[in-house]
Amino acid sequence: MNTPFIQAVLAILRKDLRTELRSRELISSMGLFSLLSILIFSFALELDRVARQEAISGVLWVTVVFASILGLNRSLAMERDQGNLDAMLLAPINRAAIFLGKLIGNYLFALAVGLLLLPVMTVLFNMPLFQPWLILILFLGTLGFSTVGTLLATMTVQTRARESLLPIVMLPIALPVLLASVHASTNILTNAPIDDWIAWPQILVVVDVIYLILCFLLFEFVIED
Amino acid sequence: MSVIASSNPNQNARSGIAAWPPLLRILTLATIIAVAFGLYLGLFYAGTDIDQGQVQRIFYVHLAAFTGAFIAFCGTVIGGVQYLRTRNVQWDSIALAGAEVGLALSVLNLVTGMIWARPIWNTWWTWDPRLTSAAIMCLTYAAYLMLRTGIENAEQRRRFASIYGILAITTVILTLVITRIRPDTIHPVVIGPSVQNPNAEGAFEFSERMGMTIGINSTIWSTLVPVTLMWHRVRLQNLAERVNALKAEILNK
Amino acid sequence: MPDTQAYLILGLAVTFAIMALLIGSMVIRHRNLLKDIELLEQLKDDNN
Repeated sequence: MNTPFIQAVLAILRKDLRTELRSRELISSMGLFSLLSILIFSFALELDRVARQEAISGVLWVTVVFASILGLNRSLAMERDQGNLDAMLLAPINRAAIFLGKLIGNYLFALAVGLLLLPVMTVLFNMPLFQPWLILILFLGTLGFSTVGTLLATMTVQTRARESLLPIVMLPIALPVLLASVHASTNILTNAPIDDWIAWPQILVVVDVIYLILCFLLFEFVIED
Repeated sequence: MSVIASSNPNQNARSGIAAWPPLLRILTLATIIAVAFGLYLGLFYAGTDIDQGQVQRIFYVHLAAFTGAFIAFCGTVIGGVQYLRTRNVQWDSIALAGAEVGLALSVLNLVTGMIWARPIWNTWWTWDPRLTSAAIMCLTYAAYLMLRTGIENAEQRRRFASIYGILAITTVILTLVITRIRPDTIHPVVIGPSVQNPNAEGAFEFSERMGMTIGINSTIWSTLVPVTLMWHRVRLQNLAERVNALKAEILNK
Repeated sequence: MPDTQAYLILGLAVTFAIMALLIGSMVIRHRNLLKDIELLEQLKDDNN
């Protein structure tokens, strides 16, 4: 008897959230990393008033991507080390449910980091980052990363090179998402007319949907006995 | 193991070109002749570009290499999908061959582009969207090969490589469409109906002869070249599988 | 017409170099594998 799909997804999600609430390992390491990254960028780029407008969305997205890579590695490595991947295989649940459960968890963590960065960067760089459009882009962009990231991290934690392989295989695949997100954000922050950049969120939605379908179908082959 | 592993004494006696199947021999010869013919057309038949001079001729190889890489990468996708469906090792060998041949051809595409750009754009490299996405495409397939070396279990390696090969095609598609979605590129738009790009630098008018040369070269490089190279690569992979099977056989004794 | 012939020659040289690299690496790997097979066949016969 199979566990119903939604119930299985929620069970995996609840497990991830509960572990996180108890240890706060992911959020604290991802959050700290993001803050450090922002500081390093501001030193490295010597961002003045004008340079900020152009560069800030790049800083935001690069930070979110690297923080989510950090989180993905940690989250899937924990699953592997505790033998959860094998256990979930034995459990009578759909593979796709495992994917969705892990995806929603990783997505929430990445989104949390992104949303945390917005007020921090608003204060530190004196830029109006809290805009509805920008938050929408953040929702769409992190969804894209988390989708390919969840699939690829499940693969790479099972390899010999483990943690070091994920950025190498994930960044090129995530590039279309990164490209669309950065360009949409830059245009929003420079107050460009909406007609100039509305294509970017549209592309982002299309890419997200393609990746979701593709990864959903392919995940079945990532965990096999 | 499978047919590949069975040690056929006939096969051992013959090696080198003598061991090639007749069709492969014909194909290899045809490819060499066709590539030479394409080069001849590009170098002598097509007229010299008035604005750019002789270097414009490198473009015949530049575009042709990309079409070849595209076909090879499509082979990786087909090989990957078929491997996941049938679990036949041959399909994974085709996927691997596609990635390796495609990587070589896309590097060729990138380097010839750089050499063309030096006199025309006055720089070897610029962070143009097209150039950047083409470079990322090369890196993706380098990552594909790296992923393969990182996995010891052969079955898992084939499975993961198939998945990654399917995902990786998105960077190829991105490279194809990026001149449409990023109109600020300075890369000339060549294929398909395009609004004449005012930003393109070094775009050129085709004479009839130039158009024909482009068509013939691209046809050769997108059919004969990737197919022949991939076939040879698959045969190499079969040999490697045989070595692995022999090793396993000896260890299990 | 600008004189850009040197770049054309460079481009062709690089084209041949890259193709030679691909084919050459395949030939070398092929040779090494043949050597491996010979060695392994010998090992197998010795074991019998």
